[in-house]
Amino acid sequence: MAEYMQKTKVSNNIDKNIARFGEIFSECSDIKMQEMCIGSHGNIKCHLSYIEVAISNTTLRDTAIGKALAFLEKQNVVEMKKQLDGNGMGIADITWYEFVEDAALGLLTGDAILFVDGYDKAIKIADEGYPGMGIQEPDSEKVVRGSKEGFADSVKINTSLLRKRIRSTKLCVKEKKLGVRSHTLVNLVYMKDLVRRPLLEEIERRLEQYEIDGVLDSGIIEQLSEEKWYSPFPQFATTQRPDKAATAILEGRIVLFSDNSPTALILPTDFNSFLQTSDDYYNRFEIASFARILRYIAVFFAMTLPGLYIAVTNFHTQILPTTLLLAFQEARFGVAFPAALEVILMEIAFEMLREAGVRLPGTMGNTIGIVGGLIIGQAAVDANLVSPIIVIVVAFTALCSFAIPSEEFAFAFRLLKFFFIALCAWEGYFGFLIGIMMVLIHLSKLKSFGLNYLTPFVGPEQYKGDGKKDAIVRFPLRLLKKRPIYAREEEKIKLKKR
Amino acid sequence: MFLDNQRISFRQVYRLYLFSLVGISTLVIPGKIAEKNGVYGVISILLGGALAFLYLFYLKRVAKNMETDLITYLDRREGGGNLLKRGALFYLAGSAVMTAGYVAFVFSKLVQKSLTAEENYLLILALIVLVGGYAVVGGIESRARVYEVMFWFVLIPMFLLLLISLKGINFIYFDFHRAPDYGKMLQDGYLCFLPFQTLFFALLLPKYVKKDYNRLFFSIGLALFCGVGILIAFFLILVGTFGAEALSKMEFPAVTFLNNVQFTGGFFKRLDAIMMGIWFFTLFALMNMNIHYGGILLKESVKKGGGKRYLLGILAVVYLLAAGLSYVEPMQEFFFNFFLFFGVPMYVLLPGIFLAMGRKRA
Repeated sequence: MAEYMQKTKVSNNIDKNIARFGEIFSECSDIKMQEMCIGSHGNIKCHLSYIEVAISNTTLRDTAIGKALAFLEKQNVVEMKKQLDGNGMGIADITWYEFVEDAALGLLTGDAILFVDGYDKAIKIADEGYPGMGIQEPDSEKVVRGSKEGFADSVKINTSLLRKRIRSTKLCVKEKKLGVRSHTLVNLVYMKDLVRRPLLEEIERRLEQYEIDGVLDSGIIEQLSEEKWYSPFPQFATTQRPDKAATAILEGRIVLFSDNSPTALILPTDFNSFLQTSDDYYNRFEIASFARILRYIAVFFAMTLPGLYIAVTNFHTQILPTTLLLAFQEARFGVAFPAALEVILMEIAFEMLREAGVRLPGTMGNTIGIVGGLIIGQAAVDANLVSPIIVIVVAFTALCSFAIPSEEFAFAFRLLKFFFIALCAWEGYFGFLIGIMMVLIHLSKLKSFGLNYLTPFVGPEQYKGDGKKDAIVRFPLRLLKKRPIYAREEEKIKLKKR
Repeated sequence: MFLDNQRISFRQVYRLYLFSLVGISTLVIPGKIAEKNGVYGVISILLGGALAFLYLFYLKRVAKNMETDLITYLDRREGGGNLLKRGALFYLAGSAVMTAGYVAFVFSKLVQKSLTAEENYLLILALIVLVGGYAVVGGIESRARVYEVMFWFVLIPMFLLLLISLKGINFIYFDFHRAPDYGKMLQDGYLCFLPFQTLFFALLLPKYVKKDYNRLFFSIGLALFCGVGILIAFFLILVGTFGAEALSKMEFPAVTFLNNVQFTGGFFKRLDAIMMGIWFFTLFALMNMNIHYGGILLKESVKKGGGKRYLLGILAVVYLLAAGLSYVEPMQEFFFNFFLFFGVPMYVLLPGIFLAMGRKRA
């Protein structure tokens, strides 16, 4: 799948280079190629190529390229070669290429390529680069307290946001290119002294194991690198928040950025880390612990509440107090559908509303939520299509799933909810128990880069860190002295008194 | 990267064993020992517990002498082809599968009786066996993790249940004036020992834990101690609630008892369905333990590759046995007598025989 099997060396004869370059970009009208004559006598032919928009004509004069051209304009042939070899123009970001095809790939990173007649190398000079969204507050992962910065589309901006937070020489950024056609830049960011080397080698191995046309988002890397592809549970944590990524790095984890994606992947991960948020550490431990407990309860109900409702009302009415049972019966009076079908219909309707809300532009998305939730819900109850209890159950389940901080993690429970509805509609509480058992068995088998998914609740490794102190309850920061399991054994201490 | 060695911690051993020991004993034993001796059945439980501790001590000695797990020891001493060894392992596999079948039968009956009365027994059984198979595929590590997580979710409700039910005890039922039948007491003591036969699998565990026999057997001993304690508590509460005579006529007295328990100021009217989770998870643990070790023993006795096909075969046999136990009533008696007169004595004798055989070869 390699794009160019044979490479052409950059020639001293600029015409040959221009011809080859023209051949490579023969049907690319967005690539601008400009020939010019420079040098003290205006007799040295030059060829500048760049991507429209990525290098702006209007700013050419003020940019590194413009200044380089102005500098070269004053040189004679001999001087010019010397200056080009020694970067006499004083440009910070410059790369020399020996092959035309490499120079072409260099151009596709958003920089300009300069050929000079009589000079056997192509020069890449950085400029504005591709347009991007810039730094914005992330839509998801909102926090009350803490930084409002979010990752951008550019991998370079994202790594710099981490560097801004961890100003250590031990913060390493390893660069890779993935996608034989997209040549997407991927960065692995980690602390040199904290990361487990085998973990780093493993992620590098997994990144190499597929040859793919294009990597357009970190989600593609995530799916190709997962151990159990069929599991609904994510085996990478994701974040759009630099502070969360920085915390992960300081715990000894690895953060992976893919160019053109504002979502960073964090590895390894476990069940507990999906229920942690950045501001858990910025707030007092009582508040953070309370929020954590709420999230764990939310996880349980997001998955099981509709199923439990069916099990209790259809199979085990004896457990309910008589008054409540009568209230349920009264509420269902006149409803044509059986309870299970009622729940399924309402859940599907709700999921559709949510999907519509996400896809619709800005304010319309909010509107559809109100229209769907209030008006359609009320209309369905009035028309005796569903009972008011079902609306409460579905609404509470939805609330619970929104309370889970990680969207992809919440997705797993939204899917499992239907599995539980089916099991409970079929076998009642027995179905519920079977479902719980199956989910637990699945989770117990699941691993993220060799780490038990149920860490820190299971396994001998939990004794080695402060994992359990930062799980359902978040202990006071002064007691969280050890790093979690992710860091190297010999680098466990993260807090000590002077 | 991280530990991934199909090994489990001693804490996991304790939790796995506690789950395995508590389920069937609290369901089946109280009704069987109350008939003749009433509250003096406690002495039978203590006797059974003492026997179990002696058995565990004996197993510890054997394991220490073997210096490894039973299968590795036999491989080293006997080689793969010894017919006697293979026969013994095949018998042990069969015995484990029979136990699994019996537990699956009790499990399915319990579910049918208390949770889904209208559902077909065979369907319930199929679900239980299939999920059991799914659990066993993950290996011992996966099962250990499940029970490590479930531990408090099962034990806290169980203790709450025991605590709440104390107020329902009628001390008149503790008839201390009744003359105990000592012969029956001894018989019942042996009966109480029956559910603890799974202790035998401790000889297969050294492969899955750190090589520290004292800690391994301490963990199992602690589980046994807690298991006996819970059984005594259940028995006394059941006798105090129903009286010995009524208790002896119940199929699953613990379940009948759950129908009557109520929390003061509690929201739920009845807790039987919710509390059934306790027995669900404990019986599941015992069944899976037997399927797991049955598979290992069978594989070793046949000494042919086949991976998970063994498991499929075992699951099919477990299913057929449990189905048979439900539809062919004499089979229940046969199973009971088999374990009483042959199964358990063999579990006691075989470790010593294996050890003696190994020494002779050496």
